[in-house]
Amino acid sequence: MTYQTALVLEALDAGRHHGWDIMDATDLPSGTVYPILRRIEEKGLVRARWERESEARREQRPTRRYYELTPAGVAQLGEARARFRAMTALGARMQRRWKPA
Amino acid sequence: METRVIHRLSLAALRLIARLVPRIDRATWLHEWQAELGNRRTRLAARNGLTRQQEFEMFRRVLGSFHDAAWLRRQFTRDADLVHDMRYGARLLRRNPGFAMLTVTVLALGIGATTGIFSVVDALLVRQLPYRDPERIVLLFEAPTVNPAAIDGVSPANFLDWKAQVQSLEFLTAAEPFGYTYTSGDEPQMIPGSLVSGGFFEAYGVDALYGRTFTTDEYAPGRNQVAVLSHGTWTERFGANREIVGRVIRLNGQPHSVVGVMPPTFAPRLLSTFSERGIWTPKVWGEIEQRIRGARYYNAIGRLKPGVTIQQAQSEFDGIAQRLAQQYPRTNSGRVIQVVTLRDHLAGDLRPSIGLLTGAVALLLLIAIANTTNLQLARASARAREIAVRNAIGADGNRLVRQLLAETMTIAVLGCLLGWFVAYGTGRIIVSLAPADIPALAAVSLNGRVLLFSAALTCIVALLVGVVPALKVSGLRSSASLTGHASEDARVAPRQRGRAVFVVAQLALALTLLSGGGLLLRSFSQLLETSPGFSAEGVAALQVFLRASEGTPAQRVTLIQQAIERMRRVPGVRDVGAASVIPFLNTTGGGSGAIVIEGRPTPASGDEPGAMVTVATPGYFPSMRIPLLDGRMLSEHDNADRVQAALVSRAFAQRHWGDRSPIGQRLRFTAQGTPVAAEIVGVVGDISQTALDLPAPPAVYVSLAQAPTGAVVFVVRTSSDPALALPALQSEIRALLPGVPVYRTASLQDLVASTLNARRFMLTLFVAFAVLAVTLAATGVYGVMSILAVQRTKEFGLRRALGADGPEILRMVMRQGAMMIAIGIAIGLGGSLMMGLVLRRFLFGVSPNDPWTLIAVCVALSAVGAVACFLPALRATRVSPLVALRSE
Repeated sequence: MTYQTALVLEALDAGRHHGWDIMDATDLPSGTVYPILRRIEEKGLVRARWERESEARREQRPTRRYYELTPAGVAQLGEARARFRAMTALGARMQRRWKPA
Repeated sequence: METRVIHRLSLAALRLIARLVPRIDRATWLHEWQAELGNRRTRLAARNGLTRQQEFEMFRRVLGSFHDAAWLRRQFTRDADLVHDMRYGARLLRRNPGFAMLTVTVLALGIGATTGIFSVVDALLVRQLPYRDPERIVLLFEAPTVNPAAIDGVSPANFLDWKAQVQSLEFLTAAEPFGYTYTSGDEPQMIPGSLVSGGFFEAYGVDALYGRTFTTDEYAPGRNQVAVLSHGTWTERFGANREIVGRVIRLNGQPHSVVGVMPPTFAPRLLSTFSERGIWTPKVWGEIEQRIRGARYYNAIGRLKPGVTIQQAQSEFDGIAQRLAQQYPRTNSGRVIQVVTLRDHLAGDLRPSIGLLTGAVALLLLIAIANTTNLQLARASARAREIAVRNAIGADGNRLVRQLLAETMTIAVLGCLLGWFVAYGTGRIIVSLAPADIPALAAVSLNGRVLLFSAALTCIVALLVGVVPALKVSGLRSSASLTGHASEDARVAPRQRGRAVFVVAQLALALTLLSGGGLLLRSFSQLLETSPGFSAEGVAALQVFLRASEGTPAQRVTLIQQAIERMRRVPGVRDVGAASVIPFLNTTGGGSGAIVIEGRPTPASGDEPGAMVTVATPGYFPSMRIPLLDGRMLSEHDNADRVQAALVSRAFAQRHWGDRSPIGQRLRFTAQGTPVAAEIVGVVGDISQTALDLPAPPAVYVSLAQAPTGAVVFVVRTSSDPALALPALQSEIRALLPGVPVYRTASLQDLVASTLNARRFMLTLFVAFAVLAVTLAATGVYGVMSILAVQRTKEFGLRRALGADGPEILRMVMRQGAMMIAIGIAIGLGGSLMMGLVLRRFLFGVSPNDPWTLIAVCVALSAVGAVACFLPALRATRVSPLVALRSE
């Protein structure tokens, strides 16, 4: 697992569920974040679905793709945290800084 | 720049990049990106208006979507690579046609032979029978308790008792085999058929193709002049004319109106030895049938009630058999009733053989797989360089493995296609070799189910064959391959060992099959040397039935004697006789019965001595060359006016009198319905009755003149081929008895030989598989030895340079090969012993672990193996010392 993948997992765990929100949280470019999302989705670490239509309509925007960690993804994140210790602090910072864009 | 313009640019860029995304994902992808972009703009605008800076930032992100789209495209191409890989595989095969042909052929043989055997299994055991709920149709047979497999028909009186008592069957119906004399024009024709009792067609659940089957009131006297034709009879004798329904034909001199024609699939062959029956008429029960209990010549067919199992029906009939044995001990003691499903009956004796052949073909398939795996391994290492290059320029390991598997798949698919021809051939060979009386075999074909089976088999084989070389290759990343010193790579040595393992496995499996073939061959030759107790050579058999319309019993005996006299005058005829039952011609109605020896305490019911009772003319014994051992033969003087005389066989005499002579003792028994009280006048040799591998049953003979019957088989010994004499013999019978057709003619030698058909069938296929197995194993040995020799070329050159001579190098290579062969044979011997155990029930006169057979097959396999090693070894001796010098 790369450090960038670990960052994406951390962002997902911190409640960022959409592609662009993850980019904001991780400061990674779109050309990195999306292929990572596709790959970890293929591996079963995240689950992706379309938001419910009603939800999007309430906020007057198109339906967005919603990503969330699977149990396997959570486990993987635990491993990543043990490996990249600095990340824990980063995760905490993500949690703090979080405000919907 | 206006924010709107930048936004439009963003959208245009997204649409452009979306073109890169595989079509199947494109719409979703575009939606996701547009939604993210749209969402971000809405949020920012709502908060404090969009700045140009923010719009640019979004545009930058949109451009990043290119990486996402490119990633998806790469993923997609990788999946599409499978097709590409197979194409590449096919191209490689075209470039190396020799290798391709070899592997494809080996796989075709393995897959084809397996599919062929499966097509037979399918026809015998899987395919639906063309009847309604066929699993509920059962056949019922009587059989002696001591040998329940020796099934016999049912006697009319027993059948009527069964019908009165049975609860578990929806229908129970009987068919009485009957020869119809059909007259149209001058020549009477014999059409075998059956008188069937009510519920016959209903038990099978089959309707007529044209017209109808019988109505219930047609089973009554006066209403029963109706007939249903089989499809075969309708086409052969009545030109497939539909107008025949409703017309009147003459059967046995009586007008019968044809009410229906059955579909071609309706072929209720009941006792397997009976030929196809072509006409059915209703059976009307009379008073006489209630008294015939000893002659078992009816076929009984039943249909289980819904929900009733065959075991339940069997246990009900066990009870019925017990009650009847108490009620009628003379005829029914020591008899059981066998309830058999129609499918089991149709598969007949072939079922155990098929099981065994399936095992044999599985071994053959394993050999083919091991062989192909080795060829693939050899090729993979020959391509080590190519693979290393591809590795170095960025192909990942998985990609290479996938490609190799795809190549194997290409080979396997070709092998499968070619294998279908092999399967078709195997199926045809099996059908032509199989004993003629297995009705279900006619249905052997390559249907959808069989082809599906072979496709599934191909996939499994491809995986098995491809996985080992593919794994080897994925481990091959070293630069050694690149530098051209592949043979010095440290990994090469274990790879050669792996290849040797596959060769050893092939040898062991081949030896197992070969020893099985050897045992069957020995059994067969033992059987051929077994004498049946008579001489079948040059003997013709002609079966006739003289009915009551031909006169009183005594008059019929006179007619038979006259016929014998006329046949004796035919040129080339040496002896003529007649008997009610002759060996190897399965005639129902004759046969075994209880014998009472006068002056001995009456044994408990069921323990009476039994014997084959044959009514014969004096000429029967010289015609058959059955030797007289004691006393005298039957003679012309043993007629109705004299004391009844009987001959007994040696087995019968020994069982009851040991070494003492039985001459003068008196017996009581029933022969062809006539009670006989006879004095033993002689002892004759034992003769086999139904099979050479069964002990000759005890037999009692009585003179035709003293126990008259109209159902006889003439046996005519000729000085040449009996087939040549048959027309003249038949015309003598026709001249004397114009209204009596000859029911069946045969050469006795053919009859005896036909009992070996089942064995010959198994033997031929088994030996064919064994020979194939040995051939494959030999090519395996040859292939590996060649590669090993080539890889040691430099070493040999060096040795030559240092003074080793040709024979020394030959010995070195041969030693290496001998090692492999020895290990293969050692393991194979274990397999052979197991094979012997499996084959035990098919063996005759040879022990399952017969040492001579084992030695012979070991020697044979070693010899073949040695030849396969010798050629590469010889090539190795020709290596010049210069090779070593040049390569350094």
